[in-house]
Amino acid sequence: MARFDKAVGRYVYLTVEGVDYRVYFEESGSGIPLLLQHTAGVDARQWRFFLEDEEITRNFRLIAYDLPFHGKSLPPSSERWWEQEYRLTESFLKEFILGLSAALELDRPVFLGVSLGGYIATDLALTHADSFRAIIGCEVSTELHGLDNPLFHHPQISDGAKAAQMYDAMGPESPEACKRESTWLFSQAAPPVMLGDLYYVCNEHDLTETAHKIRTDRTPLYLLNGEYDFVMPPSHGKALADRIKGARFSSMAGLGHFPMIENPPLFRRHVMPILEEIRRLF
Amino acid sequence: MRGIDAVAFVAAVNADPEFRLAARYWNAKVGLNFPPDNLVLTFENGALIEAGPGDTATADIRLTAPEGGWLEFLKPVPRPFHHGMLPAIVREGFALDGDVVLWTTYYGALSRVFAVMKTFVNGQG
Repeated sequence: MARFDKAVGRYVYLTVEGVDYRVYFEESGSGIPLLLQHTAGVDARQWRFFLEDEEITRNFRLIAYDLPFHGKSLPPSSERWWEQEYRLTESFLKEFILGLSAALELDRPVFLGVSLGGYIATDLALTHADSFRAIIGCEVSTELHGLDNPLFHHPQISDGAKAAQMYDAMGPESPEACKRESTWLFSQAAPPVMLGDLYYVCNEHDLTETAHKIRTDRTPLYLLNGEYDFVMPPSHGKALADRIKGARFSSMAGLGHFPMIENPPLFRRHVMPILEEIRRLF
Repeated sequence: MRGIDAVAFVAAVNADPEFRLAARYWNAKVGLNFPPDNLVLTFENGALIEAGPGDTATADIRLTAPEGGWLEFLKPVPRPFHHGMLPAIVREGFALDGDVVLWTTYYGALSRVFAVMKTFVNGQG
């Protein structure tokens, strides 16, 4: 008898900023819809352990998607994308996420994102909080200017070399097999994707002047940063939370920048109480 | 590196299977401000051929730690941001100088050198 994972993948067509995209997503579970956003330079495979978690899938419908240009969501066949520098923008991300939610007919999903996903989580909390029941941002910061290193897309530097650096963004005691899987995924992004994703992160995301406007009374906001995340240390997440009335912050001991894949059992220990709280609220 | 058998260290690095894969085609000198001496690592054709005191000024890549930095960096489980070269540079005052493209290209190989070094410093090598 064959063994199968819970997650099932399929494609949905979305129009974002006037361009058609064939978007890949995987889902598992039933109940409250929960959108899962991957980090910069990787894809939804980062969520594979989460998608198999019995306790989570019992009460939540998990949907992990690949942004266009990531994983199985190919660049749009209608565009001459190879003649343009790949750049992810905040407006694209927002329209994409809201469009995906509408296409899948999700009723105010919960949003959970890490790094790039955590940044857009907080930007969505500012402008589209009412579209979500709750928002969870991991590895967050008020802003992150200046870390879009041009060497992330350099003809002499392999994608394996970039992945080797990302190994050190994870906790030293996270399971070696998980960390290696994380770097493997990182090494598989197309060469311009990491730097292009960081365009949004390092040039557009900035809540310095606006974080205080985020309302958490109707849409709870949870922020978490890993102890070993040198990109966004816990002090950054705490500083952002301090600007937002009602935001809840916690530091994740032992974890780094890719908590959902570098150490899934430890990550779930931090996230399960939040999901349980959201389940009781809704 | 005082008190460490340099010959055994070089052999251990070259015996590391991940290092051998990551270091392919590497030719470079890497200088570290390892108190009380400066340490120069010499790589040729993807192998570490020498590790010993030397003049780091002419090294292709130079890594400089603040006082006490290397001690923390080489602990089995260092405190946050001493757990890798990049975190230490971004958050802990370590300085990188020289050929940054070369350093990035061989980051994985140099990380393995440090992993082997840790085992020697902590008495397991």
